[in-house]
Amino acid sequence: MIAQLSRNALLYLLAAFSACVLLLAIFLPWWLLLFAGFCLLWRFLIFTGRLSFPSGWIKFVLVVLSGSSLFLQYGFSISLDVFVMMLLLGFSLKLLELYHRDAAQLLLYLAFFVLMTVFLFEQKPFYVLLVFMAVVLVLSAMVAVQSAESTLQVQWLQPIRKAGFIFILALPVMLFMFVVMPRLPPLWTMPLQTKQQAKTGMSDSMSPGDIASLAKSADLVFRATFSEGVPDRHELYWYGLILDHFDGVHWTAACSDCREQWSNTGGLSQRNTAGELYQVILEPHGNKWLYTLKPSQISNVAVWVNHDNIFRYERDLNQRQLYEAIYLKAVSSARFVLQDENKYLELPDAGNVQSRALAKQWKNESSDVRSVIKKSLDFYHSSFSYTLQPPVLGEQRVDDFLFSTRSGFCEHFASSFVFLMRAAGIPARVVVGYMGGEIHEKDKFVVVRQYDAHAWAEVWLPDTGWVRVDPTAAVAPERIDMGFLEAFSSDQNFSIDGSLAAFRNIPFLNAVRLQFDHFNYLWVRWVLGYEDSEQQQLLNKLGLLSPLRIASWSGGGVALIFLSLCLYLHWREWWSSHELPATRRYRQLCHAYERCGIERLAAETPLQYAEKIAAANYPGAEIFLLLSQQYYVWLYIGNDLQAAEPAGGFYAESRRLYWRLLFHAFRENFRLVGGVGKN
Amino acid sequence: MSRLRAALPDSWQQRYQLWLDRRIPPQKSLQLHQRNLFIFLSRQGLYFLLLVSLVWIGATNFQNNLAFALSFFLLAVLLVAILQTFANASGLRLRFIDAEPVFAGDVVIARFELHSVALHQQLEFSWPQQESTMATVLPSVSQIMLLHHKTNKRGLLRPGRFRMQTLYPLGIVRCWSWLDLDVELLIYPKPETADFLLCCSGYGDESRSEIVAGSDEYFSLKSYVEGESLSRVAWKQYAAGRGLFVREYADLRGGEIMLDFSVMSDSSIELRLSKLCYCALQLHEQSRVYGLKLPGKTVIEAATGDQQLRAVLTALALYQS
Repeated sequence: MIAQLSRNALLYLLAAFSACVLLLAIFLPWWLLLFAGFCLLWRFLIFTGRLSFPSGWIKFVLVVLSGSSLFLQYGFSISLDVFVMMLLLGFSLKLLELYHRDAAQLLLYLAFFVLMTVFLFEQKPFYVLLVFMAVVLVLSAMVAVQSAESTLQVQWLQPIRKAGFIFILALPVMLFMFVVMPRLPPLWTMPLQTKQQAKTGMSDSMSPGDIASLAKSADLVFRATFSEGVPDRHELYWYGLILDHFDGVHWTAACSDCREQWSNTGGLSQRNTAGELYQVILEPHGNKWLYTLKPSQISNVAVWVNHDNIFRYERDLNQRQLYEAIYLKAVSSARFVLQDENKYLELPDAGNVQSRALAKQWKNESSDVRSVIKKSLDFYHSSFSYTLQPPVLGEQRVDDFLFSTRSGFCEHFASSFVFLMRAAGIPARVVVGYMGGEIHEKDKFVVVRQYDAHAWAEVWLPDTGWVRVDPTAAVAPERIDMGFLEAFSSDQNFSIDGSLAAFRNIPFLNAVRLQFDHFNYLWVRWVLGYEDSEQQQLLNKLGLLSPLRIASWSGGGVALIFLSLCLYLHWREWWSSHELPATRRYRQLCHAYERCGIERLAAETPLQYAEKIAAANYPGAEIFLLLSQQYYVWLYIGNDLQAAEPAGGFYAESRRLYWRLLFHAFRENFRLVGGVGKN
Repeated sequence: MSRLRAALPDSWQQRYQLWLDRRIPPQKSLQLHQRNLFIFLSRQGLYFLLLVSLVWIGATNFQNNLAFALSFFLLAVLLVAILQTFANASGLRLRFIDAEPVFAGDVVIARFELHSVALHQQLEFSWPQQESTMATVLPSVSQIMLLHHKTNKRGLLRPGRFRMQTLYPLGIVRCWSWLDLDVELLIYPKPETADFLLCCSGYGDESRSEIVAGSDEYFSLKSYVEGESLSRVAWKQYAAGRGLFVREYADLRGGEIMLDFSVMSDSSIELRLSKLCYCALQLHEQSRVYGLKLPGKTVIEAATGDQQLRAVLTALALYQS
């Protein structure tokens, strides 16, 4: 059989390929899109007969051209996006010499793989819907490849109908497997993208202006769901990083990667600690930081933690990550010993003389640490203002800010406050993270976006340990009480890039936005974030604890679904009576005689068999001979298989004979059993 | 699969054949169902399985639930494909109708009737090492399927089991069966050029008339059946938009003669039969009255017409076979 591709199949194939390319369009460089479109168009023109297949050297030029452009753009780097681009290039080139059925089939497999990679770049519900529509299209192309050329009887839409049917049948099986199939940890790692796109988000240092720039972005950072209701807004300080080193401009973490500070929690820890359980779904941000309330304890995944109660994930977070934590209300602070006191008192050797003098003055005037802090907060409260457009600072940043400009953003306050504290001999440090968020009281969750980024301070009090102090609260209490958006909603200069939050003043649109957010939350929570631990919980609820049980359950479940589909098929066949009634009757009769001990040989015709029975002098032999004759005539001489009935009372007569034989067989058995009993 | 089977030792193959005979006994007509259908992944299906595992590895490496969903979906598609492919074959009824006898060396075309209450697409039929035929069976419409077999010697050809297979709808699962419908094909001897005067024991005066071998004239058209040779298609009529027809040739002449096996001088029986075959055809073409005598008691009285030719050729085909 010549395995040529039919015209119909080719059209389906081109459609499936276009769908794949369009879905990947936003991740592809423009020239690759152009190239794929060019190949598609060419193949289509071959199809319509306006062009012919390209000759060898044209193909060679195309391969060299596209291959070298890919190389020029990405070099030798191996990451998934480059790999996908190579696949698509190969796909496009192969289109130009595609006329073979087997090759088309393999190309369609590639299309499935390409569609898988779309999920790595984009996971929004709408996009996922599109991808699954493309999957149906690829499936229908597969059907079209296997189908005959469409004719009057077999219509050209038939492949897509068939594929839709297959899709509907496969969907429940997929859902079942999705819920119960165990997941393994990554086998090896491969970077997703070569050039890490510059994402807005925290960085590991802080200098004036960093957080103010985040305030322009409404990107989602994480969602946190509390099991017993969201705590008071004033408690929602999400700790990210602690910065303890100041060089005059930047605050950095002096020892962010020191291994000895960090210890691994090793995963599941006891949950019996008193506190409030909350669950965070963190969007990928490319670093290891996890945001938690302080003090907390992460209970479901293995993470690193240091003695400042700051958490780090084991790998860079390139995937959405879910973690559960307990917010410990009553902290059992055993000892209040500051190990590296000097580290938290360290300042640059020179500069900012005015500020140092002010701090000295406060220290001399006060009897204890607390009054120094109070003095400084009063100082902020009396004469500072909170703004997103702080004036430019000069060489002596802290002096300039504290004594001339006096308006700034949270990082200015945190930074200068810690400077003052250190100058006054009080150990202090800067903390960056997020504050507050959009609180959904009813659904018990908080949405934290980039504009909730915040910086505050911690000071060391000998009797209580590290204490959080937020100088911003002294300047702009509305930032803390109401959240960032409310604090700035009246500001003329303030606008947020591309966000639905802009509609929050229109009640109806706001309601729609909240619904949308909620749906998004459910999607992220239950589809994208469905994890081992939850699977474990679900399976535990079903009483499945051991891996063996899980395996047998999932295997058994798939087998059960499969079996029921088989049964359905069998049943449908039975009712559509593929076996014609007459054949069934005759077969039943033969069975009955076989039970009486007269075997029907494969080669025996109905007449021969009937004669054999007559020779053995079995009950009903004459009638069976007659019926066999009727059956034989119907089967072989009446030349049409559709002729529904053999002549002359075949059914009534055969039914009567059947019962008679059954009765006979029963009596024979009974006699046999009776005989055994007598012996 | 067949390559795999060929690699097996003979005793195994025999055992396989015996098993097949027990499992699917030869029958005049049969229906495909779960007991006589086999099903397994095709070669493309193995590649598909590879694809599923690649997607799964991708999902695992990037810990991406949607990619997991896709890999599970593809696996589910494989399961569904097994059922769908089975359903595409199951329920089909087949019956051997007949075959027009051919001369040894020609391709014999066996006619089968296919019937079903459901739609069956892209079924492929073939005898081992023979050309295959594709068929699509529409619901509740009987369809004729033509199956080709090469021949090399006269007699009764029993080609044995032929294969039915289908890959529809996805090409990843193959459902097949080996069917024996008690097919017997009559093969006439291959005609060898001969002078019928040397092959007969008595003839009339007018027998030495001119012999025309074949003719361009055809006298009837019959409608084309799928699988027939394209060389006999009446393209003129097709081009005129009247549909596909096949030309049937014939010539009408007159005469009377008795062909006799025993008067011939050739040593080989097969050669004699071939020559007799040629003579019979020639005489038939000239519309002569002729008969046939074969050693033993076979004597076909002199007569004319299609039936006579058939009787004579059949006797030649079956002689001592």
